[in-house]
Amino acid sequence: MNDSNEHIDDLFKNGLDGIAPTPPNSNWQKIANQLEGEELDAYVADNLNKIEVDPQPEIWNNIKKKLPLSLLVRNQLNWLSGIAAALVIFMVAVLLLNPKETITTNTPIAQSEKTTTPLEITPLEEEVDFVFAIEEDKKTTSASEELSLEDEKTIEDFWSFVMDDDEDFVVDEALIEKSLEPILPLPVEDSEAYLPENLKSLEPVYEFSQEPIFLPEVENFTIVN
Amino acid sequence: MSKLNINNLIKTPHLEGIITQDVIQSCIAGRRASQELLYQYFAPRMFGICLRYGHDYPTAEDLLQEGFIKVFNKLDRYRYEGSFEGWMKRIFINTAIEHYRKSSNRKFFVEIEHATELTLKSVALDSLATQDLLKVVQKLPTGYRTVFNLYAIEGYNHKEIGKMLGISEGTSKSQLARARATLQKNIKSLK
Repeated sequence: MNDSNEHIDDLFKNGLDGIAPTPPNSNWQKIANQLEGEELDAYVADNLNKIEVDPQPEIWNNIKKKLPLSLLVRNQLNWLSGIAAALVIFMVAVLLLNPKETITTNTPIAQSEKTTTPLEITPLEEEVDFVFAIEEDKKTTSASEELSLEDEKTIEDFWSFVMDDDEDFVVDEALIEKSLEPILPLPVEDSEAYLPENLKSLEPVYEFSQEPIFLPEVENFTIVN
Repeated sequence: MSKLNINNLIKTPHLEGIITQDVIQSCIAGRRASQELLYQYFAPRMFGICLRYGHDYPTAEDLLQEGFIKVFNKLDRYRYEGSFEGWMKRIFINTAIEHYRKSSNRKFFVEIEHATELTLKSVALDSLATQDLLKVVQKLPTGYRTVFNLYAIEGYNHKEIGKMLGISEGTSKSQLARARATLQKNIKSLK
């Protein structure tokens, strides 16, 4: 086996040892080009690599105008703005992840109530007891919040109830007209005529021992969910 | 690293080896005097690079200005590894590449996968002045000039150039071959 291998080796060695084919001319051209190119590169690099040219003095003035005051300060500001941005993102994320807390409660758009607050003015003891009852219409209106879908539905139901024709319901127009009449002030001269008989002889004294009492405003309303 | 007093350095701005860590730190802190010192020291060398990459003097000035603003804005990123001049040079080369990417939109780079074999004839280069040589390089089309600068002067290979310019390796080779041919032609016409 070894003898046969050696025989093949010798065969190739003897056959290829003196071989010298002529390469095509294009090969040399490529090598020459490469050498020429490299020579040119080296020449240009040697001459231009280390050139130093003084620029115009105005260049520095232009650069100066655009330079930051301090990179340290800028970095600090960047750092702080980064923290601020992270906080904002965190807060937005918290709000988005807990949407229930952000929904406004079903607050009625407007609630109006009539509260009658009697204002009592107590005259002097020796004088006639006059009790003036002043009715105050107090309208308590809650701020209208953004309407939710449920609110809108409630309003629609309400209006459909109002607009619904009810045959049993009779409108007392006379009562409405009367309620719309302006309330005439009681003339001071004739006020005595309205007094009971036993009090007419008494001289009315219009001095008050104390300041009129104004009761605090009553905000009596409820939030209907 | 030698510690030098900034105040003393500023009085002698044109001495070799004055750009130390202290000067760089002072520039980062925003001291104008130190920034000017750095500029005065490196501007001529960097302007040489800009002149090679720009096709004319005003363009080179723009590149110099843009490059120095970048240097001062990124100075805190320099990690004192390798030469500071090399770091600056890289910024200026990148500035030139970005500039031509924006302005030319790569119209100068013709995609040619196989470089045309261009025969270069021997030209006597000895008598050519540096200024003339610079003009010849500046006259090259932008694509040719950029590839030639990166390959022949900065020493990048075609793979790196292709990556930097966003072109193929073959295009880089073809641009270089054409740049060389044009250079030889222009040098011949000067003589």
